[in-house]
Amino acid sequence: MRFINNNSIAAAITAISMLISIPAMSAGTAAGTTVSNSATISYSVGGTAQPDITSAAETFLVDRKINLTVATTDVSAVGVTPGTNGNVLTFTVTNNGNGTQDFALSATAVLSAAAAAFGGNDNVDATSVSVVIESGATGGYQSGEDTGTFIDELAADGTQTVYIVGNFDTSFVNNDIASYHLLAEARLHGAATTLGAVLTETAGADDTGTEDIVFSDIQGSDAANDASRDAQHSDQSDFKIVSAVLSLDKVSVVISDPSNGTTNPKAIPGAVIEYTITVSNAAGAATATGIAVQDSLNTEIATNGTIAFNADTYASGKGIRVTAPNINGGAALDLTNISDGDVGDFNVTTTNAVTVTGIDLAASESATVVFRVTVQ
Amino acid sequence: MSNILQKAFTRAVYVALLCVSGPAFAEQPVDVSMTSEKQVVIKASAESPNGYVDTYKYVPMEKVSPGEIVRYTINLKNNGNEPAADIVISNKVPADMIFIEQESKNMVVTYSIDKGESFNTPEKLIITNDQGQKRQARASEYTHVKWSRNVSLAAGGKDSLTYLAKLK
Repeated sequence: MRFINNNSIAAAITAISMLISIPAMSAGTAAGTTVSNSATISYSVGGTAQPDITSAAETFLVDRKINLTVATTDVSAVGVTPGTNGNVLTFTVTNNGNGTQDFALSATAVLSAAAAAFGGNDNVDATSVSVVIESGATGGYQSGEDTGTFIDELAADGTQTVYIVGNFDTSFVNNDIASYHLLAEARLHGAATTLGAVLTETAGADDTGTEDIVFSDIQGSDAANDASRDAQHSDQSDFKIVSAVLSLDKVSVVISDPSNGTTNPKAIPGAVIEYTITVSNAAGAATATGIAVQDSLNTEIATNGTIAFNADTYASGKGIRVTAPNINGGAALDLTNISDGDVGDFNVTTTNAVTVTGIDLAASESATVVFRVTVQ
Repeated sequence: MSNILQKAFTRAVYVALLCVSGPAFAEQPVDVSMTSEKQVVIKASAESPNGYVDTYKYVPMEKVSPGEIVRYTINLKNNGNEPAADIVISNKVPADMIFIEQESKNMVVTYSIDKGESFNTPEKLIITNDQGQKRQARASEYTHVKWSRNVSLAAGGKDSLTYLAKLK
């Protein structure tokens, strides 16, 4: 009962709302918050103000909204060299719900011939894949640090980086595409460090006194496994094999013969023949490093005795000339026949073979190895 | 006994007497109650002469999650034998909810954007930003709503009003 001033006319009395103060979040009012509302009336009878009356509180409990977004941060297919491990597709998983949740994670290989995320169609699967989360210790994927396989206790509005880690053996060829969906599923947050149980949407009518579970997510990229309002969301990214595509060409030309000299020489005994081996890397291919070129003359020299290697073609003891973008500034370099620290030899690494190593070729580059022999 | 205390004592007795003798007080002459329902879209964005509009229905409160709309209904009933005049209904918009709009008859509706300290009609609720620019307050900025009934509620009379609010 309130004291009422007889002289006052009915005055507005602020309504009473029982409130729990929760910081505003874009994900909305936190699950489990009680929202209570009541109205207050003031009035007078016969010119006399009467005591205010406040209605019973009308109360409901905010339900648990389950919503999540999976999005890749890759902007193009991730280039992969055959025979490498630890290649990563990068995603973020965002908790758009109004409460803390755990999230289960899985990678699904896109079916062969289905569209990849960044153009082209999937045609291969990685040798093996795993899904891990960024630990936060060091930015970017670190195989020794990023080992967690689910997201634990992600608060409303929180975002977690997740990697699909792909290992590829040497069987893959240039432009192979291995496309994957990352599928995340919201779970009960349960105990810390433990992946919570599967969520079940509350069926039937609401009990305003109970915190129900409501799924509000939309369907993601993985249509086979991800529907709208199923507590799951997904997105897709691609591994694309970017391999060196080397081609090898060998041509020979007769330089001179004992009869004609250098004018229209013929390949008769005593003639000098020059071999040019060209190794090229295709346009758009990955850089190939440490290319070794070896040309065995063993059959001709040892078995048939048809030719002899010219040991002093370019200088005394230098019978091999290499021209490669990464050697000698791209200018021709004459190599000794012995093993002396330069990148080539004859009859040292392999019997009766010209061997040149250490050639690097970016896309569209080529290198040549040249040497001469004398017909016996 | 000081003069002031004596006055207070006299007043308390007076009010106490009113309480026991006045039948109006004994049976709460005016009832005020509140109910709530959830808005559900039953037909989304159907084309109409007024453009694209959703068709709604209101259902008992079920699974209210952020972004959903609740309709509150405030009911009045005069149980007394005399008309109730000067009726003012006040409601603080719950902090987790955003006021959208109200519907009532015979009411002068005013709003507060300063936690109930002052009330005014929408066109007089002006917000000035840091650059000194003025604009009319938005419904979402209303913290309190006040309905002042401009006619008495007859003995036995009933009235109700509604408003919509969205859960943040």
